[in-house]
Amino acid sequence: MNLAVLSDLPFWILIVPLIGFFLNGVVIPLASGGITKTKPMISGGIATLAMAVSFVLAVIAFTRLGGESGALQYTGFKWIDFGNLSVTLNLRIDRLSSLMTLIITGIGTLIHFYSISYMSHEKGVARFFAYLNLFCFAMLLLVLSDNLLFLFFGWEGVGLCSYLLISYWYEEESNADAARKAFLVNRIGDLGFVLGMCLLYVQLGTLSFTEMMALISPTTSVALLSLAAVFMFFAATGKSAQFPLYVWLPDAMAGPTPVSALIHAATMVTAGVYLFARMYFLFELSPELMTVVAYTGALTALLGGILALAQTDIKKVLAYSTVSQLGFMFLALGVGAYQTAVFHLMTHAFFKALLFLGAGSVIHGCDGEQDMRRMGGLAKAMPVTYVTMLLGSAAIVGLPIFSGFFSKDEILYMALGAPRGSWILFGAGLLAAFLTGVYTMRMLTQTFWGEAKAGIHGHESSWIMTLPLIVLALLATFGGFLGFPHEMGHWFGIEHSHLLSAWLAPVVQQVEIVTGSSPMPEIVVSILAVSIAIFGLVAGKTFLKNISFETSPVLKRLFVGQHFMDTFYSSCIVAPLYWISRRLVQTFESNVMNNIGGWIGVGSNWSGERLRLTQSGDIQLSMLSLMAGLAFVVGILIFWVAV
Amino acid sequence: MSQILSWIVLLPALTGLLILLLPKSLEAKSRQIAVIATLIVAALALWAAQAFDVNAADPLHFHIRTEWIPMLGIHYDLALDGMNLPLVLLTVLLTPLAFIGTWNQTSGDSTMQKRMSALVLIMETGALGTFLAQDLFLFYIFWEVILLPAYLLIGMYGGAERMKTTLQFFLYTFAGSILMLVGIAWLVHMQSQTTGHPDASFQALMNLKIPFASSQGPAGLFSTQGLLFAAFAAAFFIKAPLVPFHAWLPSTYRQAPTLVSIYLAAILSKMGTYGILKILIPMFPEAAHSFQPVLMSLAAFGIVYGALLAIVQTNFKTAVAYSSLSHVSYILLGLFSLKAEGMGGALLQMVNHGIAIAGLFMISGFLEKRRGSLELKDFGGWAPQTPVLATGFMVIVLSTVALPGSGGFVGEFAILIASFRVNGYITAVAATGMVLGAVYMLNLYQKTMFGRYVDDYVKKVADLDFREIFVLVVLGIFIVGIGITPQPFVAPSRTAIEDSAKRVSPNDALPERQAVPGQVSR
Amino acid sequence: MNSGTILHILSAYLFSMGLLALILRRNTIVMLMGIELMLNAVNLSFVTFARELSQLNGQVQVFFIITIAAAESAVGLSILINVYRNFGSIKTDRTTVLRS
Repeated sequence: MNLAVLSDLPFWILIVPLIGFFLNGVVIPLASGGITKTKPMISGGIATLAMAVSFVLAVIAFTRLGGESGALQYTGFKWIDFGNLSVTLNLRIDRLSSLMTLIITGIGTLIHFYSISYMSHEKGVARFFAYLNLFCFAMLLLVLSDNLLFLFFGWEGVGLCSYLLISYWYEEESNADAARKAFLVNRIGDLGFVLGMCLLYVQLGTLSFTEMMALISPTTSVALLSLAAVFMFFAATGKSAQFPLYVWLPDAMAGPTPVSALIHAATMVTAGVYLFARMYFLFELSPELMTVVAYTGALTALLGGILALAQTDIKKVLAYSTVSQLGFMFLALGVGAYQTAVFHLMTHAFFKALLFLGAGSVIHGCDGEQDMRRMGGLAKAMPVTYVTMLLGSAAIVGLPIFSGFFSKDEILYMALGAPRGSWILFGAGLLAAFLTGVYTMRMLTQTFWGEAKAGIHGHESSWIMTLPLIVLALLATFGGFLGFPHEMGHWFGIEHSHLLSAWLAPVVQQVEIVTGSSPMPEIVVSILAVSIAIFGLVAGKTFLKNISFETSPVLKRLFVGQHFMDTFYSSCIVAPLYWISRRLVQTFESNVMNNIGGWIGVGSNWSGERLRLTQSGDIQLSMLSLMAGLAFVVGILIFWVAV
Repeated sequence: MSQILSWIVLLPALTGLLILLLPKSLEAKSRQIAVIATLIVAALALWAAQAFDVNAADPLHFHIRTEWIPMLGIHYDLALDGMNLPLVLLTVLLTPLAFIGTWNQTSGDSTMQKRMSALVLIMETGALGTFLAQDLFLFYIFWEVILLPAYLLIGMYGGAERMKTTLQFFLYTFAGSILMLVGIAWLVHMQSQTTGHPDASFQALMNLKIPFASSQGPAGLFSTQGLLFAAFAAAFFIKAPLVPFHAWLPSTYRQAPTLVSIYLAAILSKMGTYGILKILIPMFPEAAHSFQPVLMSLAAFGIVYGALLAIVQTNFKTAVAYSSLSHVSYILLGLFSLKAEGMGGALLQMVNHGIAIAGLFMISGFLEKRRGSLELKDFGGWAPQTPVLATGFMVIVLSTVALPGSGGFVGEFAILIASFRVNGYITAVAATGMVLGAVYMLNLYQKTMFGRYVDDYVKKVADLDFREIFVLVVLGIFIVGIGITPQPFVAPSRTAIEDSAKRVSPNDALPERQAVPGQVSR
Repeated sequence: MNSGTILHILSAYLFSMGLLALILRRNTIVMLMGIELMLNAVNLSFVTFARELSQLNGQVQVFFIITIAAAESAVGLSILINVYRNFGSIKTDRTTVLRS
């Protein structure tokens, strides 16, 4: 096949969603006479089609890469070449990008499809689909770029789309606030990205990944490169909602649910993980930083799990759960298990997208109600949603054969066995796994089981919404077999059972665990993890089912009032900033700067009043001063110059 | 066509004088005449730009050089070169857009329209002449041509506090100009002492060796070159402005009528930064080097300072004015990095800032016309009523916050890279402007477009009309175009700026890009 | 002390007297006379130099000065008559309309 499309695969994968954006953002509103008159079927259909085409191309790219371990290149254009600054826009699909592309376009297609029904009651739905397509374009640019600068294009682009989509219902002030918060917190992280990028460019003279990789070898020990790694980590904590910058993600749930599924669970928030996997050669330069990354991840996993316990809004439970799962991924990155992190990224994309879409289906079925305390007994009313949510929950909790089981166990095993691993990390991971069981069970119990509450009946959603749920449920259930552990693979007599690891091996590094160096074998870790997860489920079912965090002030402060980080930020950063600004305006600007011009006038007046006294109009006085001046000049000429 | 630059420079002023002479019966047509004249100028300038040859042996294109005052070596000397080409294009394109975009706001009586159009046209001549002049004295003449129309426009048609504002504006800029005049006289005097025949052209003055105390610190300021640097810097820093010379800026931008605000912020401030790029840095390289730490720190401080003040403003136009202060400081940071990519980024950023700030002031005009106020508390919830305005505003906001893919990012990125080469700490401070910029821009956007209606007037607000859409679309195309493919926009300036950078930092050879693994510079 | 030096001293003395008259007296007529005195002092100086240096330039200059002094006193006196008509006095401290 010699189609132009196939020779420039990376370009077309990237550009098709952009065409969708253009159609939905410009052509359709013009054609239908105003954006409020656009039809969900047409707009959604075009957007979904764009994503589907992109997905098919991504699959073709994937099969092309299957043969060899190289990469598909697309040479773009010289972006800028000026003085010392020279950057070219090139696209590149290697095995890691290919996997990410499949996740983005595949799950993206499902979520676009789902949105057709979910957003059918909205006016002006073309705007929604345009933003969604633009997001996919930016996310694809992020993973397809062969250099850091265009990764940053995508990085900021997804942040913009996140902003636009969180504030989609902008009539509510609180939604706009949430969107702004998300954008600004991400911007703080991006500050680190820009500084790190400047540092890398000044040090290395290139931003291309392959060239940087050639320039950085494990033996180069340059303090400034470690600093660049610190900046990059800071950037990743912003985008991937790690401690201390996770605060924006729960608020981001103000957006429509498909947005939460696509952006705030499956793709955008994992950009930080992708950055680490892509730039492992840089991060591996400073083991100290990576230890910090691991502990940050563990802390975030725990914190997210704890905060998820007390939420009453079904989407916020899932949001904190995402924070927690991202913590798991950073834990894996920190100990050097980059492939494992990508594996969990993939399984998490499956089951968390499923859970969010399921939650969306619940919310849709309950006519917009998001408070779990007012739901109950929905299992009968919404059977498909119920079953798929059940499968998703099994996956996130990590019950055997479900996808989360494989990836989470691998993380726990790595946290214990890898050289940078430790019992503390392992313990934190186990505890977080326990918490996962608890909050998942609490969510299921409050939503689907028990008595139906008055007023909320629930009805099953249309097939457009349930079909993506079923596909995702299949992926969430069986997706984990792509990463079947080697150790267990051997028992069944399968070589290379860990397919994902074999696929990623040429491009992504993975720490090796020497046989016997781990305190316990992987199978023991698995059994421990599964039993603790089941313990968590039981605990969630029996103890926590009916605990209301509203009644106990202490618990409320700790859990429900999850805003202690928010309070910290607003009182320690935002408030002082505004205070300083107000002071400046009230004192310096208004009193000094604003009056300098006036003072010049006043000064001229004052000196003029004094000087005019000499201008008496008395001719004798004028003559006298004339003579005095003459005498002065003559005096100088005689007595000074002559000397 | 050999006099094309004369036509470009003088046509607006001639049209302006013609408009002033219009009889009462034709006054209503004054704006149409003005727009047609500016469009002709734009067409001429675009023709000249497409004939611009980057590889030409002589960097001065369409050079006109006629003796004017031979005794003082003053020539009527105009030429298009790599440095002024982007700014000339910015000026000729923004002027008609400014007229069209503020069409419905200047709808006072026809005499007012007549005077405003004429004075703005005279300002265009001043700006174009300043950019195109290749003779220092001619540069000064055109520099001063701007001042009087601006003074009259603010004084006659400004807001409530226009008298105080216009006095302040005039005193400030004039004080700077006078110092520059003294500097010019001194410089030309030195030149004629050295070579025997006076010549005030840039070319001749560049070759002058001006003594400078080589020691770092304040001693350098009181050497000849230091004093000359200070004299020129006074004019340029006030016009740009660099903190702390900005006292005239907030009230002037706020009190001026929209059309004039656009002109002041988008084009007049660029005269100051252009002067730094064209005159201050290449003519006084040692002084520029010596004062670089102070100036870069001031620029970084200005970025943060302007942004902090913009955050707490309650008036749309004042907030935009302070945001302009912050962004011009970025340009200055790039200029004072004295690196080729920094100066090139600064030049590109001049264009970007011109486009973005023109867009912001136009939007303030759109809002004011529809609401009759610019206090933020009077706004809210416009997006559903005015989707086109909301979209256009968003595009301009994105350029202002330097989102990748918009023009604003390219310039800021180049500037930060260059500044990082000089000093990482200053750059880190400057980069916080990225976050603070997002804070105030999103605040502005949210308080006007999002949220609930303040009262019922919103339901009657009309979306943009055809002219306003046209203006925003043109600006948007440039914002996105520069953001995606900046190279064509910076390529013409490359040689000129790299030469200039070589003059000022001769030791700063471009490092060879090594492909040898493990060899990391420094 | 030769005659030239004496004449120079006389010239300087007359010039100073004229200057003092101009500065100290308030009567405009006396001031005019002072000016005439200064002019004549200069004339004397010119003539003396011309003689000492054996050049005619100084002598020629004196003729010019005499002519101009005549014209000046004619104009000055006519102004004074007008001042007297308007102010009723020719003292300089009475004619102060330009002071605000």
